[in-house]
Amino acid sequence: MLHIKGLTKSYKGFPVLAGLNMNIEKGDVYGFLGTNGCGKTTTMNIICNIIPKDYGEVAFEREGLKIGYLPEAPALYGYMNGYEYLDFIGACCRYEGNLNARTAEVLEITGMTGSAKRLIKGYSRGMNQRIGIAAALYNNPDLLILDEPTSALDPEGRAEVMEIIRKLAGTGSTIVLCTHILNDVERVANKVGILRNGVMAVESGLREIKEKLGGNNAINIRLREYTPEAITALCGIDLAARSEANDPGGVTLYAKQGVSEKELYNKVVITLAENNILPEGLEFKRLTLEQIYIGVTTGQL
Amino acid sequence: MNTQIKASFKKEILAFTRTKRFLILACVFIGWAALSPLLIKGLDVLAEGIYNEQFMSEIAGITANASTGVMSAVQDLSGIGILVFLLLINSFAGGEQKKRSIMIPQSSGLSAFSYLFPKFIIYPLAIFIFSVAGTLVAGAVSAYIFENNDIVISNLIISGALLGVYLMLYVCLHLSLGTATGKAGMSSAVCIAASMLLPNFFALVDAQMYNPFTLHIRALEIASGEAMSVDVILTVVVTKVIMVLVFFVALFAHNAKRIDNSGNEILV
Repeated sequence: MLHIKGLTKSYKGFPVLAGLNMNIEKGDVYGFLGTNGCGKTTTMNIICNIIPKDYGEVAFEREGLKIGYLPEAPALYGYMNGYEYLDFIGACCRYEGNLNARTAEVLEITGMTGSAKRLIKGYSRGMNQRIGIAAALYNNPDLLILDEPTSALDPEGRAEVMEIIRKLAGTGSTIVLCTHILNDVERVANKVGILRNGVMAVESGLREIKEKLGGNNAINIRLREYTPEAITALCGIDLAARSEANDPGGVTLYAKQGVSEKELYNKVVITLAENNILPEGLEFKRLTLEQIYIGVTTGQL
Repeated sequence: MNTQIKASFKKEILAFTRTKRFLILACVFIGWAALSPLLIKGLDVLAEGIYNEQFMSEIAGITANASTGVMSAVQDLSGIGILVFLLLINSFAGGEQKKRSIMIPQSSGLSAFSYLFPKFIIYPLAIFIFSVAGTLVAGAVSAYIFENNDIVISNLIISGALLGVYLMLYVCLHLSLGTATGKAGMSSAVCIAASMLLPNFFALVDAQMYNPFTLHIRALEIASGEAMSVDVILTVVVTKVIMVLVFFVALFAHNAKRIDNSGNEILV
């Protein structure tokens, strides 16, 4: 749907984007991650024609692709009420259907029907975000870009906004979710791109990224009885590169290079049986998206 | 009229009325217009209380009558009135760019014409109506408080209309500069500076009859009872043409700033 190649942008000689490549396919819910000031908003603003690019290619699947954009802090007209604002946006995007019906519909989707007749200047930040999302959704966009939709919200507001995004994702909409709140991404995204030093450090499906970067083939064994004999037996498994005794819970074993999760698991089960050790539970340990993100943005992964 | 322009008109009307700016400006124009003749009337009383020779000599030339009352109001509205108006419409002349509230409508597809056209109709029209209404109020108050009543209603309307056209030009200049640059404060300052410099330029090139900045002087002359000359019509036409040009300059600036990054080619 959208392919970006070699995108660059500098502000007063300071490079923000240094050859960014990005690929968004139809139906993707794309988590666009990166530290503050790394160029996420700049990229979004370039896609939405708000600021000019320096060099590079921004190619849409077809001409006239409709984009809905929610800026990080949407500045709305405080003297209008929610209904009037969305009506105005409907006229701006030359919505071809019935404006009143569509306004009512997007208000319903974003849960703002009850507050639609109140002036926007009296809205909370969460309500502003929801009206912003309603505006972005108005023209049934092919691509919906949400820039930090939950960053300034309290947990309740965040949950509400994420629920709206989750519902939209469920309808097959193509969404770019630009954020540094990783829980949000894990909840809805199927694809992730991590921006570092103005280039895309990692871009892949969420599951693939977790498998590729987060899978360090470790098994955590929780013991029913934490005895020195049990610890010695488990720590002595030769397929493990290292082991950590988690007193009093159990042991974490990290597989040697080239040893698969399955091989390590089999060896653990055999060792437990041979030594008559009763486990409380076994779990495969992987890096969380947050750990992967920190690893990528700090250059460790 | 297309839906976008209609919606944009509605937006500007809501902005002007709900932010109370309409009410404030109406109060300033009507209130000041009513106050000016009262101040002229009160000059005698003031003079009795102040025994300052310089002050006495300054007011000696002022004849306190109905015409002077109206002239005083026209003079005040052309100075203080426009200053208040320009400052109060700052947020509609560049403020939206500064606060970035125009970002969502523009990225949704609002055209430059639909954005600018209602502004160039509503605010100039408002100041025109305020000017005529203010002059009429000044006339009514003057007729009421002065005994030697020499007010001619048609002169009042013409005077108010000329003042209105003069002030409309400022508003158009302000809207054009403010929306094109996103710097409304700077735009107000440039407008005020232009009013001081351009009359000298027109005087230098001996083109006073085309000088839109002389319209308020013509308004004063007509308020004082002088007959309207044909030159005034030419000045009004020139002023209107300048306003239209200023609108197109703003439109051109907005369209020139429009960004399209969606090229498939790599820019070099």
